[in-house]
Amino acid sequence: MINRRTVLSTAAYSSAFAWLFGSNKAKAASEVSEKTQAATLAKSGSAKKAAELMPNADVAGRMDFHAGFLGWSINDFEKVSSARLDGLLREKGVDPDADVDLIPLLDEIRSDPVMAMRMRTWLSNQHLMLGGLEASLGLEADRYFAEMEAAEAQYPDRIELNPNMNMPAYAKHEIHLQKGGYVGNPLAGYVNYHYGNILYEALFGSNIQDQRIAQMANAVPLPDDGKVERVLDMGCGTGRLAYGLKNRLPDADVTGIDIAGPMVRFSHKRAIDLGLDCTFAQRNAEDTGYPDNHFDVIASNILHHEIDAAATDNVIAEAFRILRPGGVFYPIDHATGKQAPKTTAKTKFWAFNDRAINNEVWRDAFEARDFAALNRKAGFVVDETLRPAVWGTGSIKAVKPA
Amino acid sequence: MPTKDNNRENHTTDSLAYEVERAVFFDHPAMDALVTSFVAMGSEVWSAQRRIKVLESVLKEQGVSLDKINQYQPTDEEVTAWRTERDQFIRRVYGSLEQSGKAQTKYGPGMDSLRQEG
Repeated sequence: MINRRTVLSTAAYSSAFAWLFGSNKAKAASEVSEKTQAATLAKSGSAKKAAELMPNADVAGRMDFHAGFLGWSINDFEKVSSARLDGLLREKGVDPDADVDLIPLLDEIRSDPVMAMRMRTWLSNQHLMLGGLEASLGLEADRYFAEMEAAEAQYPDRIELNPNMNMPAYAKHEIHLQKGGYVGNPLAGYVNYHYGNILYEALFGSNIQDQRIAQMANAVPLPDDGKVERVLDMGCGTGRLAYGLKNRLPDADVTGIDIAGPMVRFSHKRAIDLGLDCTFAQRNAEDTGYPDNHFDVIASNILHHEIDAAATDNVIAEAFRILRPGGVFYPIDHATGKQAPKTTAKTKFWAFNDRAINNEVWRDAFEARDFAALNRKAGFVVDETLRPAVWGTGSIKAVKPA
Repeated sequence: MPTKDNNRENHTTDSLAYEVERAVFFDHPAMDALVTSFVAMGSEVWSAQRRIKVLESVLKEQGVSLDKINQYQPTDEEVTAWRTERDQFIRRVYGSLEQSGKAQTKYGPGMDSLRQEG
């Protein structure tokens, strides 16, 4: 029996979900209250079910299974496989808590029956879940297209699509094994939305994604002078952070940008459903096209570990350019630098696993760098001592000097 | 560039496929395919069980007894339709077994080079 509280209390090295479970140093100070908040949200009567908006009961049933299987895999099975990994490393004379080169050991680890079954079953479930979502939602394509088109006809001034977007290669990967990735499937927003719901169902026993990201929005620091007229969500994905920011700052113009057209369309459509006056635009965060000093606040949620290092540098520089003096940049992502967990043989294995079977292409490159230092280098005044936006994340406050 | 489907603007571009499902973790790729098959089977079985629970709840609300369900005989049209669905079910569950011979690398395309990088 999976005990959901175990999920919230173990600092699993979770192969696929470091963003949610990363045992960063900042977490320690806030662990209790954040866990309490998560548990409260999980019990919330307003929490949406993963089955919401599924095409039919059969798809909902299959996805319910995959959520349960995923919960078992990253909880009970991960405990067993982590213990086995410990044993394998010790048999080889390697301290599991030491930072060592794992490459010579990878084949042997992978060949162990427990480790092989853990990786194989996780991969099979992920493949079936994402593939099943894509196929099932595709059967309802006309309905979803009609929804997006109706929203665009109703509020054309709140969406901007760029048919001539020069798509960089780093954005084309099938992250998390989502077929077509964010850019290649016209229903990518729907697929990603449901995948997120399933993931939260697996992790927390309830789909608290909207609420958790609203917490992130509430954690975004505001400029000292209090002026917040224009807010930007960089890499908005399914739009949730932008929604949270609009709910928190109803008088501000809130814009979400994403390089993927399908994600922008879904975000816009759901904003209309939620009655939120946000604008969504298909723009590259490296080169947004906005004027200098335009925004008062810029935030992001898990953007940077899904783009390459050069793009991260460019995005930081762009954020600095379009943020007004005194404005705040608040990127939320995996913990790096001083906030990062200690690198050990075990964490390296699960990180490798995340790359190998979850196709987190850029995670290693992101976590290998000190994100706070990169922001300082770009000219920001950085505070990395704030408690994380929500438990398990890394977040820094970067202020553009006045 | 965006593509069009049925004269609809998709706003998509080419993606980079990652066929990691063909990765092999066991001595014989058929074992990997079997594991995937078992996971798929679980999905189908649970989905069916869940649907039955839904149906029983709805029927109970409507005052229909379980005896009537047990004695039901499907129509010819239903038999035909159910066979089609059964065959789709079999393909979903056992389709991965057909892919056993396609495994090519240990971690999937592109991953071997990563391993060389340390």
